[in-house]
Amino acid sequence: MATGDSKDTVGYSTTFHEQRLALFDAHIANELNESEKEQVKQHLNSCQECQQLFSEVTRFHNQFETLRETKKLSLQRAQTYASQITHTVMTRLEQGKDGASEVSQTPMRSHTTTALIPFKRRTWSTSLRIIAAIACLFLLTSLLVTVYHNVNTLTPTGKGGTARPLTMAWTTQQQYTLAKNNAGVFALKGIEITVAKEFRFYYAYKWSQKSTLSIVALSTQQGKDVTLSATMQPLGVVDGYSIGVIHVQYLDRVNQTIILHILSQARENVRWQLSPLKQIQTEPHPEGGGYYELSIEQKLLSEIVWSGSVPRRKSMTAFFTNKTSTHYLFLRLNYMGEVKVITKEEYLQLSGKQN
Amino acid sequence: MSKEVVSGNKESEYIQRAALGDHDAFRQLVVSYEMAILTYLHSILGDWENARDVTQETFIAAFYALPHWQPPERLNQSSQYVMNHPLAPWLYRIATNRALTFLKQRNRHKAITSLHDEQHADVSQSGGAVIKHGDSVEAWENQYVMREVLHEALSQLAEDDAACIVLRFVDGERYTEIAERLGTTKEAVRKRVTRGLVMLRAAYKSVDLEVK
Repeated sequence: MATGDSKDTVGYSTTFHEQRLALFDAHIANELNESEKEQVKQHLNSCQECQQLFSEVTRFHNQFETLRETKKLSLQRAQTYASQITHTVMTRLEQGKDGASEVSQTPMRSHTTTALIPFKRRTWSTSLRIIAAIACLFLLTSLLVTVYHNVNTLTPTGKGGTARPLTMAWTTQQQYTLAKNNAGVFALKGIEITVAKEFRFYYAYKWSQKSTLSIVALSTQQGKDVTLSATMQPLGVVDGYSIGVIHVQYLDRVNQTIILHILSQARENVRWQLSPLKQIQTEPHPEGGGYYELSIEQKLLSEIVWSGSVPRRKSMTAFFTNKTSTHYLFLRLNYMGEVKVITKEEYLQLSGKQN
Repeated sequence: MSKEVVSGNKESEYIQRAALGDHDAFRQLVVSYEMAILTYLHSILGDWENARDVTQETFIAAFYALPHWQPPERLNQSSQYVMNHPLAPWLYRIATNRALTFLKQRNRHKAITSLHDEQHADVSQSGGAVIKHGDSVEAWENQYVMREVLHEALSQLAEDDAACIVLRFVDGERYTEIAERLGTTKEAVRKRVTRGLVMLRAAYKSVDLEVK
């Protein structure tokens, strides 16, 4: 910050009243001398607009207090992160000795998974292209592909970040997210891990009987089962498919598989069994607070499509729709666990779209 | 490049050597500033991991820009802090610039996960209990909104103004402390905070309307 203040008049305009904002701010923080305080007080008594500004600045002070408090609480962690900085910076500078300009232009850690892998244009021979195409087709038709998708733990790009490895705590077992039998079909359409450490499994099922379903969730690890607290929350019906969400308690157990038994409440018989998730690494944030979205191949049950959650400031919106996008079930979610059905109008309003 | 030697500390010597490509000298500068820049960036980003990454980017950028660095114009009248740390105002500006670029690039998922640290702090405070309902949810939402307001306002501000707003409202520093840290006058800080508050008001209205 240069000592000069050359940008004072560039690109900003403040009203006559707004020019007093910092004065009000200093007054609220008790940083004015007695004479200045008196001036502020007298002015406020005679200016309604400034009274409004004063109350707004007071509100800012109070509301920013929460950020200050949480930062104070986490300051002890600063040393851990600071200890990594010098080594990484100096290593990168050493690497950049012969290509200074290249290193200085290295982008920061990328924030989309697609940008994590450096892409190089290559000239492929025709035969290689054919082989590649066959391989792709084979892979696409195989449902035994395990999709790793963990949006919370992206790896840094080569030189652009630290040597933090890509952390994939969970793997989605796509082939076990759908179960079909004489009773009907039950499919998971989306999985989330909320900041309150809870799984949310969004489902769609079709069953000829009207009996209510219930859920038993297990964490299986080397033959040892732990029953997890779980509830089913029906949300509605789209094209004959019952839609809902299963809330399951979260446990951090490496190598566990999460198994869902969907039961017919009347007979207590297991109607469908799914094992959608396997934990392959220790959860990086076991205390909670992270928000994860794990993708499920929508084509497994193509009749119903899950939109995925879209952040809308402090909440999220999502919807289920049918194949032809003619019927919708709109939802409002929060990061903690709440899932609520909303109207189309509410959805459009939350999405900032005109009706 | 004219370099002013500051008596009583070695920083200017390190700066001169580092500007000529001396890595050991630059290492000393990194060690000297890393904690200040890291905690400052955490105030903007709300997340230690991102703050660490952007801190690293700041130092890498600083190393290559160092040959063009000019000491603060009024160094002789500057604060004691800047007398001892003449690189500070310049580094804060680079850090702010990098953080704002980072925020622009961040996709929606990262926007969500940046809350992790704040939530983590809450959890620590509550003795490891998982926060689920009631006041905690409200506090969490308030933090989220205020972080959004801050980012929205910062995106509209010049780096120097943005730095003043962060130090003032997130770090809770006094006007004199900010002036000291940034090597400027209290009056200049007030002007910057005024502009920042105008942007914060606008951002608050925009975000508040959106969440209602």
